[in-house]
Amino acid sequence: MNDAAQRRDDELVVPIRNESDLNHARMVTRETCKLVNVRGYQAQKIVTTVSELARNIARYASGGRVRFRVDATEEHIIIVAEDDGPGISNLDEILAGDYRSRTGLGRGLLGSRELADHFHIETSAAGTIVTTAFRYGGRKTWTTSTT
Amino acid sequence: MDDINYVTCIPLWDCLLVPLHGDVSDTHADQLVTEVLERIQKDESFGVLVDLSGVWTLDSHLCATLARLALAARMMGAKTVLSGMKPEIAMTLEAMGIELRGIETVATLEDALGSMGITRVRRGPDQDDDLLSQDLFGVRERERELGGPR
Ligand SMILES: Nc1ncnc2c1ncn2[C@@H]1O[C@H](COP(=O)(O)OP(=O)(O)OP(=O)(O)O)[C@@H](O)[C@H]1O
Ligand SMILES: [Mg+2]
Repeated sequence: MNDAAQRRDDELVVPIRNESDLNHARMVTRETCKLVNVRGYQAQKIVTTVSELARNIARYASGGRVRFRVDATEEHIIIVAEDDGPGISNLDEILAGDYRSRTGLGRGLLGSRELADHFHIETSAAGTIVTTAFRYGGRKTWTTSTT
Repeated sequence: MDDINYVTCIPLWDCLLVPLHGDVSDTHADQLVTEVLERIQKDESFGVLVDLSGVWTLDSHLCATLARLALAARMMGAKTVLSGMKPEIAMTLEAMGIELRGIETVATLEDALGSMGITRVRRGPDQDDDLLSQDLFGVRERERELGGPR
């Protein structure tokens, strides 16, 4: 393993270059979940999301990384998948569910949006950044809006 | 990168039992398709039982690969049945809107065998040489109850 996760301040960064980096990304996700005692369905949702986003980087971008961070105050696991690839020109079509993938089932991005408690995607010719957050513990919402 | 990925295909009468476990890498998934299809042809198998009990994560790509395997196997005259999917994996796929269309999915390996027309034939309770199976079915338990002190 020459591609060990790097620790920068409070986040863990896993570089993604090709599909053989996916197992590593999933492992780091499981470890992150264990750290905050997230298991079962909740952990499965997070690992699957990372698997989807990391695969997209490996397949459609020349390279990128997945960043892991735990926000213990808000009780969220924050996962950012970013790459320096060509960007997604037909993002609106994809997010509207009108896109037919030629390379897969075409459920990677839409599926991740369903799984995450917070999902945000920014894309341009300079690359794509997908930010997701998963809550753990007792809190209900991403922004505490309940009274 | 990792050569620890090998595909296990266990011949089971006219079927192939394929247990998957851990993290199934993309390379492993591709090897799986090739290997299983070759074995179907070589062994003239009628069924492929893919057991997912040990699988940690199923994502969109692995589902697509399994669907591809099932389709190709069907064209070769073999039926594919998936068994043992963990509840949290099933829930995740459901939430993502992924359907494993065209593949039969059952809860247990026994159900998968049943779906291939393979069922267990029990021996009669009077055949007391088979104490083990009587134990398994609780027959001896019942006899003890019936024959107990009145
Ligand atoms: N990081 C990325 N960079 C560039 N293009 C991307 C990126 N991620 C996704 N895409 C484009 O968006 C499309 C939809 O992605 P999505 O992950 O939803 O489906 P898919 O990868 O085609 O299939 P699946 O994920 O189900 O195997 C892809 O086909 C690809 O063209
Ligand atoms: Mg994808």
